[in-house]
Amino acid sequence: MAIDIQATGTLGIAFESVAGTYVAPTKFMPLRSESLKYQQDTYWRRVIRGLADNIGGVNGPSHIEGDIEIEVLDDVFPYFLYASRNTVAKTGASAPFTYTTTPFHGANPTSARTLSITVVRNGVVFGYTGCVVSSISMTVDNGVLVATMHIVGRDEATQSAPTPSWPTTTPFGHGVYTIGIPTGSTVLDIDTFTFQVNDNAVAEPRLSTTRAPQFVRFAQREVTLSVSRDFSSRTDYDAYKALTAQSVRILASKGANNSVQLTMPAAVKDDFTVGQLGSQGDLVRSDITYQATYDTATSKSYEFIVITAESIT
Amino acid sequence: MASVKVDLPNMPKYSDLNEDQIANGDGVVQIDYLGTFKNGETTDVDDAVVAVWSVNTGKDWPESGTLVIDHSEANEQRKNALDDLRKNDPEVYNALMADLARQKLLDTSGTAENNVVADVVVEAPVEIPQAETPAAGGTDSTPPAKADTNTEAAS
Repeated sequence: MAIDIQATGTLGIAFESVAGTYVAPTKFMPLRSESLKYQQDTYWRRVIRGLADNIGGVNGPSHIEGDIEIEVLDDVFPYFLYASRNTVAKTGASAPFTYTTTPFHGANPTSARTLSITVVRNGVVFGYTGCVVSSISMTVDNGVLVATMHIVGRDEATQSAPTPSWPTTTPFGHGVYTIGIPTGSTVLDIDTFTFQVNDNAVAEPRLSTTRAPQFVRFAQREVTLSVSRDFSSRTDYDAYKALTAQSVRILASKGANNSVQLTMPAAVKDDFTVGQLGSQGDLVRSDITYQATYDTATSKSYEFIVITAESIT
Repeated sequence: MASVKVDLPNMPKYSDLNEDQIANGDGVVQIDYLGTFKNGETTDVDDAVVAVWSVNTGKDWPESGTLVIDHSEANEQRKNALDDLRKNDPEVYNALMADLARQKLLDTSGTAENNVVADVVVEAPVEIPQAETPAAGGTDSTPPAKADTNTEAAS
């Protein structure tokens, strides 16, 4: 096999019908990066038998883990929501469809919403199976909405090379954002944010005839948002001191047919740092970190609503 | 003349889209070395383009003359996986089918019937044979084995 550059790589995903059984990709996506990896916890034989060397390795548990970083495309992102610790409701009689998430609280991923992820690196095909989204981190890079999904899965095997068909949808760039704090009150003093939901997925090996984990389970959920704002009054700062919950909404929209909206209905400021005075020319800014708490009115700590022409069934 | 047919059920047909959706790039896929194609349509491609595609991908053009971009391979794999599960682990299969039926409640778009996973519900639920119970008056007092109801393997 000839050498090649990483630009020629591809990644495609498909929902599995039976968790852990490979399905050829049905959706391809342009990548910013990926780091999917087969990880094995090898038992190294360090027994006492007159030798100072490692005697050899014996199979230990294995699983799949790594990140997929993408530009957020409205036709791609919902697939990862389905594979995350959410139930996803789909509405709309025809395109565009609306996908609304509700986080759930159990240990198991929703059945039949595990992913097979096919990665081609220098023409070599890696088929990762039983994959779920453990965490989603969303931010902006030079105004473009990007997201990193941390993946935990079961196993990997080589597969036949797919023929990629690439979406031609475009990312959300500068000039498409509406940020409300609280949701109905648009603020214009935020230049960057980072949202993260981490459901702490763990591969669970069990003694059986396979090395792959028996299942992947979720654990405690942590939902945070950090923003940088121009500092102009004490109002928000005092709300921080009082632990006042606020709704926060970030909408990236290219119109009625294509949008991604994130809402934290009961966000409480965990940290509020007003920029220290130390540089004559710098703006006085504030760095705020929110913890999303469970909102009894909506039964959610956070929610994604994606409007797209993509029809996911 | 070679052609490319794009029939992707997860994308809208190009002919059904409005101007905004077309401007966003919906309903169109791009295939390396071949070009851009509208979903739901069959488009002719030049032999020279096919040759470039073949050299760069290392693949032969289909003998039928039409490269079909669809989900048939994935659908077949899904069906086979479910068939295997149904034969080998009917309890897990039944639990999975019940879960899928509940998930369909979340889809009010009218497109849930396109769900290939749900469509391969063959004869669910599978009838699961009960463990044999000792005959009345028998001396064996061992209770019948309890079926394993752990469904985590399917999740």
